[in-house]
Amino acid sequence: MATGKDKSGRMRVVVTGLGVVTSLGAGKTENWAKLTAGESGIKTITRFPTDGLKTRIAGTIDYLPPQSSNAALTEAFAELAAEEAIAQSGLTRSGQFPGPLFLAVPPIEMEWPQRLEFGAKSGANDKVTYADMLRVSAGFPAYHRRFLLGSVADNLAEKVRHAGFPDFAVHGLRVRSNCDSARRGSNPAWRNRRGALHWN
Amino acid sequence: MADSTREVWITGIGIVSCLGEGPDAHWQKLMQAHPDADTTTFAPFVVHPVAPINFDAQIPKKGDQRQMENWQRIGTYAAGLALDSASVKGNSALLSRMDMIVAAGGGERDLTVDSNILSGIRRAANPAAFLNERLMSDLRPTLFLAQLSNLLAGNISIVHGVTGSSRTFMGEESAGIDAVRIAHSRIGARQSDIALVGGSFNGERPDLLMLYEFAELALKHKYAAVWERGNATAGFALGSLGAFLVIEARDHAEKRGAKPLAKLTTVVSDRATRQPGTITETLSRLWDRLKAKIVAGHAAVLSGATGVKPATAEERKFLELHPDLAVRATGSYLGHGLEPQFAMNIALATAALGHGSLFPPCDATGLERPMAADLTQVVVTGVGHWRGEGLALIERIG
Repeated sequence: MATGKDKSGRMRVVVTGLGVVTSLGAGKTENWAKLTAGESGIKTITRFPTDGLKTRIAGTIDYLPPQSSNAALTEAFAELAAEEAIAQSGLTRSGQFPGPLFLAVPPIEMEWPQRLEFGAKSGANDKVTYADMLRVSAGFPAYHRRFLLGSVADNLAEKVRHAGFPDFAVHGLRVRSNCDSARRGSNPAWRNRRGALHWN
Repeated sequence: MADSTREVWITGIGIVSCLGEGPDAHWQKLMQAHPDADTTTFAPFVVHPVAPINFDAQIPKKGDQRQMENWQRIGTYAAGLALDSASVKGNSALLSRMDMIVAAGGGERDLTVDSNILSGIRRAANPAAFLNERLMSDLRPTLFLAQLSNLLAGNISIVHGVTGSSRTFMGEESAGIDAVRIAHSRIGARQSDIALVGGSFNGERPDLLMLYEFAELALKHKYAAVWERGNATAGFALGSLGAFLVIEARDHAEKRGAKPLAKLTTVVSDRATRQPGTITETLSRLWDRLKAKIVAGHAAVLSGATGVKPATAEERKFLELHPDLAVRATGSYLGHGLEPQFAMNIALATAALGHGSLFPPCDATGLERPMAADLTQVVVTGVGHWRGEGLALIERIG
């Protein structure tokens, strides 16, 4: 133990902070209480219409304020869970965050509200094509930022930095969404899947 | 660790772009110094479409090809070229322990389905139900698999049998930089002996043009070389790219008698806050981590500059601090391919080191200057159009 290495000479890795957000609730305490009470987080989907879908239930997180996109909702989950983990770790917020950020998130892309918005803006009479939407797409930089694949991790990094790690983003951080399809050695396996139900 | 005591060699490169496939085709086109771009197919947007590819040559089963979208076909094809180049294609004993790190974007949209929905939804009595119904019935079942980001790695495993560990990184340019950095540092740390690393990008996609047009970053109307893009023409032309490297520990390569193409000495990355001046500062700090190895007069820079403000202007400021280094921005020829851009430039650096010289400048602003000296080192830069910075040092062996 004192060497920080295991019998095979590998670095020991310990967990010092955990944060969870699930359909049962935010935080370890609430989740544990509900899990051990036998409660299920599966419920009827209310966030979007399910007319015509075969599945109308899911482990939905419906206790957070509504967000403007799936990407923004993902970010809200990440922020809550990260805050809880950092708080538990006991890291002081007076210096550089001492390590990288790895974040597993679903792929991010422009969503149907935006397609519908630009379809309408295009003024196309009958058939709406991407060429029509492209004619009216300039001048919405917030959508560019929002729908970059790296946006959730990047915004999370900024928020943690503003929360009190002043040099957080300068040296200590690697922002990456990482999805592994295999696990090997001492490296953590990160999995990243699109939900079975998504607004493709 | 940025550097390892265990040398890492590049033993295979597989590249596809508008310039063709393989290092020789790329080198010939770069030496001709006549960049070309497509200004009509997606007018007013400028793009660099991929050169015609006979996918059968690397993806023999039509069924496999059908299950992929173009970005996956381009990547699986380029990965096959890299394995051929490293003489490991079909060596199942070796491939079963070859690690893979892929930098991947998102799936391509079915443009026809989207267009039909957008056209029909205005007449629908219940728009939400209409959307659900059309998505449920119009999307090809195979599209779901073809859209998973980690299915590029999955397809490479299926088609080429690369079945060691597999990682997929997402997040535009910095995902591509960190894919190479982590593959390199794992080999250096003896966690891996040989790895396939890279990515692919289909730049011929109106849905992606839309993403970049939102911030007016997509190059329009007229082609210009990267450093020549001023106010009216700032931005990047999307470019279809596939780029994979086989990198391995020197001892591993020597044991199997592999020919080294170059040494991958250092890979470093960071994330500037992108406040004014921070890109230049960050690149300078990364430079400090490899400058001791630079041999004056024999090193050049292959820049991944996009042409976007302020990233390219700040990278230029950094490069102007090093007037002894000849610079070439490959984006002038290839366009910008986000995730695979960094691996592509490492591959082109490897090709240049193989020739022992640099290709001619393509820049009327004077930043790119001719280089006559023997080329032994190349520093590749990656400066994300929005976030992420990285440098790699590639050196000639022997």
